[in-house]
Amino acid sequence: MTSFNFKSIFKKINKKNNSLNNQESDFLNNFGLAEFGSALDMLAAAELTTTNKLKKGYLNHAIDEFRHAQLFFNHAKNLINNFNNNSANVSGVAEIGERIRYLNFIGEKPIYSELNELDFINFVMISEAAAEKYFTKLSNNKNFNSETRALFSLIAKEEGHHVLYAKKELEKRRKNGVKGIYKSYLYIKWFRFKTDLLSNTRKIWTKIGDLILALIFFIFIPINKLFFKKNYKFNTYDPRSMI
Amino acid sequence: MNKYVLGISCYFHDSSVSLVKNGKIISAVQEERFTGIKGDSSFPSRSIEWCLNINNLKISDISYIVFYEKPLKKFLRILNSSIEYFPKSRSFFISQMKRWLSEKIWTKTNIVKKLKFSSEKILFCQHHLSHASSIYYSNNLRHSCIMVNDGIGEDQSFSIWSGEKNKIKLLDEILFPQSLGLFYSTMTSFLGHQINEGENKVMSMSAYGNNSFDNELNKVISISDKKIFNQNMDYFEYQFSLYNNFSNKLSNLLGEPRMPNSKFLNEDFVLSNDKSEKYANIAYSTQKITEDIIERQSNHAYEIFPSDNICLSGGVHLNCKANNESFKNSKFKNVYINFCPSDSGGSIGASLWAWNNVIEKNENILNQDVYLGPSFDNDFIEETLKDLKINYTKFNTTKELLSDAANYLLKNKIICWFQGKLEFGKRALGNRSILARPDNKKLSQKINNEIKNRESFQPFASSVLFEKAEEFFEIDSKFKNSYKYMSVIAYDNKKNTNKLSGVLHVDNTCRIQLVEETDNSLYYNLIKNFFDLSNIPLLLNTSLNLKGEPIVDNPIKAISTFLRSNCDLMYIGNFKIYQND
Repeated sequence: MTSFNFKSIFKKINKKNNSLNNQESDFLNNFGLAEFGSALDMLAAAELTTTNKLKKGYLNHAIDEFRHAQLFFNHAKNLINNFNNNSANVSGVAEIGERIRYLNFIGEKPIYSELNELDFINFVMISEAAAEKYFTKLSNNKNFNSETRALFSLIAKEEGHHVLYAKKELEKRRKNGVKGIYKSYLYIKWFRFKTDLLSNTRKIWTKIGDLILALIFFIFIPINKLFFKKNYKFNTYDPRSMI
Repeated sequence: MNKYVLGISCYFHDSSVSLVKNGKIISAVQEERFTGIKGDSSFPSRSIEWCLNINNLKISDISYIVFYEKPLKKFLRILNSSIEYFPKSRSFFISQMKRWLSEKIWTKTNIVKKLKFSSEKILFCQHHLSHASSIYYSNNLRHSCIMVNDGIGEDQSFSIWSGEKNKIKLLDEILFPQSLGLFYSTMTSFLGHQINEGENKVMSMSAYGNNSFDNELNKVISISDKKIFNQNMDYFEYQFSLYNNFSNKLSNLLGEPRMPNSKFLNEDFVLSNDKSEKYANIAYSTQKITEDIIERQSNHAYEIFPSDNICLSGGVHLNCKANNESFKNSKFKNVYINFCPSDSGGSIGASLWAWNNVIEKNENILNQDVYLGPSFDNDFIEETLKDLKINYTKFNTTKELLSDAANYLLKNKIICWFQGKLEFGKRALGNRSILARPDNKKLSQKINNEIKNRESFQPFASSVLFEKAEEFFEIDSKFKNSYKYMSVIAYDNKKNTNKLSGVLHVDNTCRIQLVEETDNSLYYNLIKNFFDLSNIPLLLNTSLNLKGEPIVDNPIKAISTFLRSNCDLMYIGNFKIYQND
């Protein structure tokens, strides 16, 4: 499960023009990557959980998320083909992995291993509820054509099922006398708030960073160009050296 | 006392880790297999953890950690490019600096912090030296020429090395921005495919084309007597751009670039229109000039270091058609291409280089295995199946398992095959595979369209019983050490063409894996069982993964892949599961 920031993408979509365009396909691809990231987290949970009865639930959830990703990717592809847009970017280094990590805050360890089982179930419930809410909103957004809205509606419905099964599991635990469920809920709320904040501030820092780097580029690079020696070669053989 | 060296490659693409014990690789795995992100370039924390755990080691047991390249040398090359191409290099500079300043430049610090390892024991190999070592030190060779060809290392794109008595020495090199690998990647992008992902599709497309674009491509890159090849950099932008690899000049020369996912073949598997024909011809000329240049490189290599043997490494040598065409007439008698010519093999090369040059400096070179990743015993698999409430059939003996699988293959079923240790590298070599009979074109179409979602022009590889291969293919003894890793194509010898309809490409070639019992007994015997029933000693073999995903590593990922695919059955350990369960 991921901390994907649906809200920020939704804001961007609202700002776009009424007509369908390339941007919409990009948004759908981003949703696809977000769902793909969720699938990877659920798969990791299925691999790592020691609560055997949850294994199947996590696996089924992962399979749903993979399917959602595919639906988004296919729909984005159809949109591009329908528009017959020749200006599409045919270039680019394979960066899908980086984008999945960026969009989903996938770290070096699966999120499941950083939370306990109870926190993780709460995390699933809260994240899926957020997803359901945003996809429902998108399904009512008249900027999209009927097919896209139908897709959002379908996804929202299925995310709703995920919320229900997470709620059911929490309810079962409550009945069995498990303590700290509400505390865990509040912790995850805070956890998600933190990651959303991080996501938004990261964008600001990225823009500031770009500006600083652009200044460096226009000030220092021309100075260096004056002394630039073409085909300068570095030859070192020290195995401990990074150069 | 045992000594261990840990090799790491990361931060570019295909992160991986390998662990050497007393001169032999005992474990190696790519990070993508654990994270599920294809070509994952991140720091391989999960792979390192697995390598240590599976061998009951702590990080303090490791003598040295070796990184596969020299990061600062690469950084300086990027700075040089930014300066040389100022002001066009602005966005290149900004995006590269963001990547470098956030992690790449801190490689040593990252290793120290993340692994709590002494900085004194961290070594840095060179990119092309890692490639050269990955192949030379993996084979029991005393004397060999080594050729490395890739997009770009620190600053080398091509290099020739001598391998003599366990020592590797640089003899010649070509430096950035001239690069055969980046030329091919640029054309991959021009032909509507993703770089580092779609190069094999260009190779497949080329079989449908003719030489009508040779003259145009010769203006872009051509053979040169003095410098091996001349590349006209006016047609390229990769020197100063991360996102646009080719310039408008290339579009003016060759016409509009191909749209990604645009139709190439129609329902009858012929070129769908004039545009497709044009792109097929461009792919043909791209492939042909690449083969000609590699042939020129090999001749040059022989001139400066004559030997019976040549070892090939670097991403360019994933091009199995070029490997065959460029070396079939060469003076080298034995061509070695192993299971990891691409950057993921960098970790293997770096660790073997450190072992042989920093630690032991002996002359005992050991043959390396390809099955180096995680494996799962039957108890674990059965427990997983039970937890997942999946119905299964259990086989008590391997004989029963093989006979059952062969029977289903005979009945035109497509099976997932999950057995033993995970393979290292890009190819599925019979432990994580999707298999089908090779003489049914409909099955291969089904795998392309409904299971792997690949483009219809992409052919499949086949795994062939070693001793029967000559009955089906033109086998060249020169490549006997490379066929087992699916590194070379072979031509149909026209004796049994009807039995190859599902695996033969339009140019009558097939990427083959020759399987010997000593390499992979279970897989060999599966093909043998199928041969006993069908008189066909080969199987269609494609990797066990779906589009955009890496090859699966563990039972849960395998089951997830199987349930989402349209494969009929899966054999996982000693168990069989069905789709409708």
